[in-house]
Amino acid sequence: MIGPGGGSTNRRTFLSLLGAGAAVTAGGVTLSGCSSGDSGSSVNGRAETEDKLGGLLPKYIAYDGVKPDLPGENGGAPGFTKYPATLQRAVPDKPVKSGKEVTAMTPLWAPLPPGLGSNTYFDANNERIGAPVRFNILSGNDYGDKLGPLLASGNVPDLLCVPGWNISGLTRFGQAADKLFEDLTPYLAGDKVAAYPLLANLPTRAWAYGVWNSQLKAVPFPSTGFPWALFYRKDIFDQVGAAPPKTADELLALGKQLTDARANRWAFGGITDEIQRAFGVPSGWRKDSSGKLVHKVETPEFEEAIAFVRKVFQNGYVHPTVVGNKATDEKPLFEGGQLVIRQDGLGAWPESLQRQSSINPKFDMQPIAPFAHDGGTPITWGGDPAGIFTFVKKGLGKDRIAELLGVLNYTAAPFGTEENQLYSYGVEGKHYTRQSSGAPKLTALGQKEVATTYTFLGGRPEAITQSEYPGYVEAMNAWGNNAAKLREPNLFEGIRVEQPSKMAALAQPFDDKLQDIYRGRRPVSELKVAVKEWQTNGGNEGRDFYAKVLSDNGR
Amino acid sequence: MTTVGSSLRPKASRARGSAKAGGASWRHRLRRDWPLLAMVAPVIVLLGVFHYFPTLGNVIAFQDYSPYAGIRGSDFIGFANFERMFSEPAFWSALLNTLAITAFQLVFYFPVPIFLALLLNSVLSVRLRTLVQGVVYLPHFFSWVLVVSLFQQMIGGAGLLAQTLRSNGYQAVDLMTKPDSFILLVTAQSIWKDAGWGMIVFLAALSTINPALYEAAAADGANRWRRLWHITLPGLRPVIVLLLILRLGDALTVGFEQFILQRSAVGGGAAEVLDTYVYYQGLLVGDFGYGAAAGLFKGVVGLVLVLLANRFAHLVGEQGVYSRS
Repeated sequence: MIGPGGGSTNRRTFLSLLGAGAAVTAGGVTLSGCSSGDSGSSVNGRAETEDKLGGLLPKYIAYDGVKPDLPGENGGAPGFTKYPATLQRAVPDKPVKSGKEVTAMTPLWAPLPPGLGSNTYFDANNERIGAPVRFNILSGNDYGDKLGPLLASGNVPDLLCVPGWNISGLTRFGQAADKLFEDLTPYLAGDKVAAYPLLANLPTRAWAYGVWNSQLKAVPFPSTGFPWALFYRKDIFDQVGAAPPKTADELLALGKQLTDARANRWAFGGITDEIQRAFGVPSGWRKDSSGKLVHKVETPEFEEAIAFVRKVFQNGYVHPTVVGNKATDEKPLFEGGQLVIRQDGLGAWPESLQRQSSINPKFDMQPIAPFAHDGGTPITWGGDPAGIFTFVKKGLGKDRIAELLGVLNYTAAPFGTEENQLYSYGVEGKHYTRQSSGAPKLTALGQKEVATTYTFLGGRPEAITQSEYPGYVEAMNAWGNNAAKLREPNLFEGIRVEQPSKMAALAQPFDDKLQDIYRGRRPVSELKVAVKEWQTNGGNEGRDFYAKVLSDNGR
Repeated sequence: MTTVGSSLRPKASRARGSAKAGGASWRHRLRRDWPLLAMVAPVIVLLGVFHYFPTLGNVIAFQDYSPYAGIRGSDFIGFANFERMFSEPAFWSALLNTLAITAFQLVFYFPVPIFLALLLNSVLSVRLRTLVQGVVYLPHFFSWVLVVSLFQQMIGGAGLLAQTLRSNGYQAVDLMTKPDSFILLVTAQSIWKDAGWGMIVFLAALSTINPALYEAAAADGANRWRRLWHITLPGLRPVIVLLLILRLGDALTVGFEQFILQRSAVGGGAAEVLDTYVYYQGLLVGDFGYGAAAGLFKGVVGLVLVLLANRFAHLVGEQGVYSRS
């Protein structure tokens, strides 16, 4: 990912990246792959259109659950301002009848919880599932690095969670999907999904992104698709009398106002992608007036944005640790007040609130409303309708696959169900207690044992639910609805594209040059050279590929 | 007597060797040596299974390798991976960086453990020596993440040095983000982390030198420097040559973690070495064939360097890593 703060791909939280990472890489629109028919190499890239997948997608059957208080507008997520007093039981029977252990691999952006056998939170969920789920939990920061060798070895668990942004960095994923994972079409297509009512409750558009090689290969994790928000510490802003910026100049002025190196405080962490967005850079490709595809790195807006970020760096407004290491974990610096403004995925917000609410009551994290650099109408970048996928190991037999889908049905239980509460917070009275508002509060045991493990095994319709943080649900819902309204048109809406591997390989060298420019090791003028290299080393081929995808789809 | 005895032994050995062709003798030797052979067998199996057999996997360097199609299912593309590698400016930049770091560390890092060993060897107090040894060994057991973090905390932009300078009204310096002095930084880190550990083998070599030699030299009037020059250093020389040769074999392997951790701080221009190049261009994107080509190149260059250095060692009268006779 591009970004002085590492773009933070490697430390985004589970809700933060839904459908996001792919669309903002230097490689361009890097949606996960989908092919028509054969399982050959994805070296040359692949694409398939969502509306041609009708025959194999599950039928949408809404689950009659708790109704949101705040509707999601324009595709934004709905908000639930309170926890229901009584929870619905959504999965009456134990899905794993055989009782046979289920192996699963998921990422986690938090300390590892105690393992199976010494974790009562696992025991409680496994009791409902009917079998122990043995998690192999890996650091989300390194998940992509481990995934490639794991897939190459062929030694995959029964259930494998694969974030879309990790897929975009892998070549030949189409082949891996074909060889290693079960075709779920015979189990879920059309009306068959009714056997799994909570999976049937997932949006059809999200399912379309779970298709590889014309087969339904994965259970999707639905997403409203915002890759980033620019967050700030409102408590520090109030302290110094600052106001959220509405233009790039105001942001730069904030850099000066907020940076006080002697007090160990800097204005910014990683903000690059959000700066690009503010300057109107497209998230991937756009068409110029002649109809030719232009990649984000080729646009004049991109050059302006890069020059601006360099200015931010050169003025010393970026935290030195972030300058020294683009992959710095900025969360502790932000939460500790050493940096005041940074970009992160939306999931980072409630996560920080959870960490800080008991430590620092003054901690007030807020998102900055999307703004354009010149004060005009901003755009926001949209991602895919699904950003994370769970694959089922191939060749386990019909009965076992049905059991495993039952587990995914359990983990897809939406807000307001017993199952959702159990895998989100554990057992009431043991792992959490109810506050006067009805919102759960983790106990010491809950803090130790509860982790976002089952959550990663399945998506559920997007919802903003953490009403235990005063004002959070309302603010998040308002931000999301506003951002959804500003979403830039996506040329590839509904088309699954797997970018050519040559183009994927351009991301790192190009990002290296950008990092050099930000930190003053190369002049801004070298950006033109870098773009030229990008074009000749695979970018132009990528353009031809993407142009053909569009023309094949009559766009 | 010793001379006569030793001169007889080869003949006896040759006599046994000539009888080797006979089946009875072979069986006899098998009966006689089977416990030894049984002891060695697991090691041979281990080497075969985990070292030699996997070496065959280098064939993917000549393939458009897909792990999902396997070696048999992947197309052979000849030297295309190597051609791509040699045509990439980034590869040459990584190779040059690697060689520069190796050469620099050979001059400025390699002698440090020897110097430390000599220094420690001259300390008479056993307690003090044990304490110093413990202190200088310790960093070896730290991970590179910890070492780099420690340096960052000390001399980074938000580190102790910078904070102290700032709080005293001076301009802060960030020594962790300067590409020009990166080679000094990584060598300093290597010395801090591993020089103490590297010293062990030299201390062991020093302990094998006969103390009587020092006493005789002292009795003949040799001062400390003379004793160092004529007894200690010649005593260490075979070990120094051996380690030097082994180090040359790893000339293109300067490390991975240390560089990948600091790559974004100083940029790929200074911190990209062959191992990180292979990681980014081969492994991270799943292009295993290309990664294997770069790895094979490294291995071949390392082998050639070891052979050359060993030959050179023989020419100057040292035993080297192995000898043919």
